[in-house]
Amino acid sequence: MKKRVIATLMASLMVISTAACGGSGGSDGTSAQNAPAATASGTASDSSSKETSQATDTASEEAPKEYEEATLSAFIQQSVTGESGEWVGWGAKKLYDDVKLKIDFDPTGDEIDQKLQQYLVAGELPDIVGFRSLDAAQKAMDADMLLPMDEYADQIPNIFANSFYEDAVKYSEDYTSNGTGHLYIMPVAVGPSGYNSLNWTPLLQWDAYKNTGYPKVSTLEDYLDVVEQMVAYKPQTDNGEKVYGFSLFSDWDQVTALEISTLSFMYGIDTEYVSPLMETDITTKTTKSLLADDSFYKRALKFYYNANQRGLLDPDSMTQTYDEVSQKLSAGRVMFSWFSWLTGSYNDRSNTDTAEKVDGLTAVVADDMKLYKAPDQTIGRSWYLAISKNCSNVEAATRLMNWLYDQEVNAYLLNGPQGVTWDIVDGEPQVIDWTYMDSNADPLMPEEIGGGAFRDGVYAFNTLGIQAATPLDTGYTIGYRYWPATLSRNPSLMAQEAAEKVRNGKLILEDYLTENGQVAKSTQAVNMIAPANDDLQLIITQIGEIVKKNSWQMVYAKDEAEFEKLWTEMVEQANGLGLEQVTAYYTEQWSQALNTVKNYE
Amino acid sequence: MAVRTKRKKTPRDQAGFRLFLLSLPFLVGIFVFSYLPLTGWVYSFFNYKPGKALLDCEFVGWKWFIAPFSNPVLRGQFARVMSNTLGINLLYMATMIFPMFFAMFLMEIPFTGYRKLVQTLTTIPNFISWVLAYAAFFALFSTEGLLNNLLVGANLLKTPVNFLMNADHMWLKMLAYHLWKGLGWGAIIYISAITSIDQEIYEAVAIDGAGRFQKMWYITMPHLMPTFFVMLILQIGNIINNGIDQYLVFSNAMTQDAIEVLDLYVYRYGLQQGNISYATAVGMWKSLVSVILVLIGNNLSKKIRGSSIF
Repeated sequence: MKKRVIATLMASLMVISTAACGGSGGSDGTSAQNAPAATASGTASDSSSKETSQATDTASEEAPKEYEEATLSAFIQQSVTGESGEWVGWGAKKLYDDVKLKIDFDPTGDEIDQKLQQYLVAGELPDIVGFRSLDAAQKAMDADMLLPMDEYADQIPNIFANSFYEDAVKYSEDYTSNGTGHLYIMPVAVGPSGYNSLNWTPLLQWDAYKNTGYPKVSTLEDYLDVVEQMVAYKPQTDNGEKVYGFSLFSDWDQVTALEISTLSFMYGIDTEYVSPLMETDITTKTTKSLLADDSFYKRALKFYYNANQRGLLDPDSMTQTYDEVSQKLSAGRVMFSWFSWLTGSYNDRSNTDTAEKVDGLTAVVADDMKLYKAPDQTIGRSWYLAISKNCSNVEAATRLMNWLYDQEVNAYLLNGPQGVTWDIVDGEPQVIDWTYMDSNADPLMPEEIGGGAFRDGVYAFNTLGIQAATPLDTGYTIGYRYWPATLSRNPSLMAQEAAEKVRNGKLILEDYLTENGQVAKSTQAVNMIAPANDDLQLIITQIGEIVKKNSWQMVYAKDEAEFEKLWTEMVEQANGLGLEQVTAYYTEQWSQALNTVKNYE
Repeated sequence: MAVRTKRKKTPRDQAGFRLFLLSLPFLVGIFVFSYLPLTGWVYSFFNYKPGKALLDCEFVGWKWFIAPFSNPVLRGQFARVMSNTLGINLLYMATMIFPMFFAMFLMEIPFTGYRKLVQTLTTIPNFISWVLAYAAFFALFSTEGLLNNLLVGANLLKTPVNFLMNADHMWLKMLAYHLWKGLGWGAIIYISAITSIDQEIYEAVAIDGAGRFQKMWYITMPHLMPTFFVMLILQIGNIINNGIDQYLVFSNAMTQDAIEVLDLYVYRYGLQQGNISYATAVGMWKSLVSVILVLIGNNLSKKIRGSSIF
């Protein structure tokens, strides 16, 4: 009896305590939820009004009757946003108005290949899949999980009855279909490369460069002297933080120290597309091992080794992430950058357009450099869209593909609606309100066309079927970025000064480089390399682990002897792991690609 | 018949059955989480391609098992990884006595408030994940961390040094981090053991004239030894299973050679690369080494102390 009383007491105590926990937890939860809701009330009400406006649209007769409404799920590896959920905004409204479809995006973001693998292991892919590499697409084809789109050719005329995509379709059917001749994966970004959109450009802080008297840069190693002078001129930021000449990061490393090997692109040498373990010279069309004794990679390692010896290299380079470097760049703490877009927020107009002190990161190209320019891609780049074999509504999926490869749709998503963001002024297309593009993440698009931010147009897909630089019948490119009015748009004071002092008066960098023969235009043969098989892939990973490790150790080596010792050790170990097989495979692939590409140029 | 069954159901049997029912969820749990996954070992014998049915994949026999040893460079790597794993873990085991001493000294503090404070502060690190702990150590030891600021400020260093990139004495550093995180937590079991020691023994020995340290040495410690040995044997079973997060966060190109342990190796070469068959095979090597070590530890314990797990 006594026991039972105690037991009941205990039980009731437990109930009370759990209830108390639940109660306090609940109240915490609501208050926590309330806080962000209050701060984000503006956006919240925006999106809800967006939804309601969409709902009313659904009821209106705008949508063509012949289509059946459907929602498709999509997993787009190359998506820029990484956001998931239903596609909303002006692009989504266009899709619904045109073909009565909605897209529900699965999350992307980090570890994108692992996510794909999970879908494959589960045996089920979302209706629409975007692949960021041929390797990834190959896995899905190996598993036989993609729909042969050519069997639905009549439903996708924008791909199959469109001479613009003829090469892309043929190449995909012939070479990337697992030998079946079907169109499983449809490339995106078909068309010529954009003018003045060089990815790899050496950038220097303009103010420091100016105040050290525009020292001449003849070759890569000269940046060391120049940057040393610049750091001597500006050893600290206004906030008293130390300024470094060079600052690298390691979180994007794959099989090499990527931020180091990538310097090769400034000399027209590809170290990414053919293979990160190969140095493929775009001008001479030759390829050789990245670990050859006379490789550019060794020169690049030596470059940063010397930078470290001179105290110019950020000691955290090996351990920090892209975000941290981006922050340092924003704060003006790094003199040198190697991607044209890697500037943090240091190139904001407040910096580049302030007459008292014009500053920012701008291209100062060494005399002997030849900057890599992406090839014209009649077969597209190695990003793809595909329909899953287990897609339950193939008709809707083909409808979506047809829509996505519609030229008019591409133009609309790239530029926004005519009369709102752009218009024909004086006979040529011009952006009429740059605020949409300059603040492309802010929800500025008019509600009547669907609202949302400017980037909601293409960011979910990253790149559409047609490359933005493709010229149309009008004589102007499809995307606003390459319109003449855009290229000569209101240059900042920094751009004007730099043009005058280091670019022979040319405001547009590519004009200057072309004049001096400093552009290395690539060939789309770099996109025609078949992925290595599993055994070779394993060897590449194993070599990569050693290359990454030793490369960083070399940069921070104590002296030249240690530098050389680490290099020799790295090459020996890579050879022991089977580097020759890797080199042989890619050399063979490259010569095949050079042959194949002749049919597509 | 009926009578016989009735007679058999003594209250004791019922209690036994009830205990069985009570432990059933855990048995099921162990089966589901520890034994069922073993069926996945079959993947290591195939060239598994995600999305395909396993039997449609190519059967490759022992290929993936041999792969980590297929050439001298890889064998060298594996040997290094094994020496790291064993070296670091032997250090951990050698210092397993530390929590016991810590508990003994802690319990000698007469001022309860202070004792509780120390105990709480040393236990907290156990609940901080390694990722967060690393963030804290990064704030201390990185180039722009506290330590550098102090040293440069005091003119002891001219230029800041990134201490996290220094690969000297990596095993000892790992041990230090490990102790920082686990000391207070490890002491809890000894503290409870100390409180359960009969106070009359202490009174008796005090009458015999024993001092404080003599009490600790002759009374407390012998009472704690059985607990210590149980913990030690349990640790042997876990020798190779000490997780990867600690090593993953502290690993960089400089330190990697000294702290790459087996778990990290499996992660780096197997999982990260997405080759499921290879990862499974490497993981099975790990299990094999683990079992061998447990058997060795068990036999040693049987020989030395006469008690063992099995």
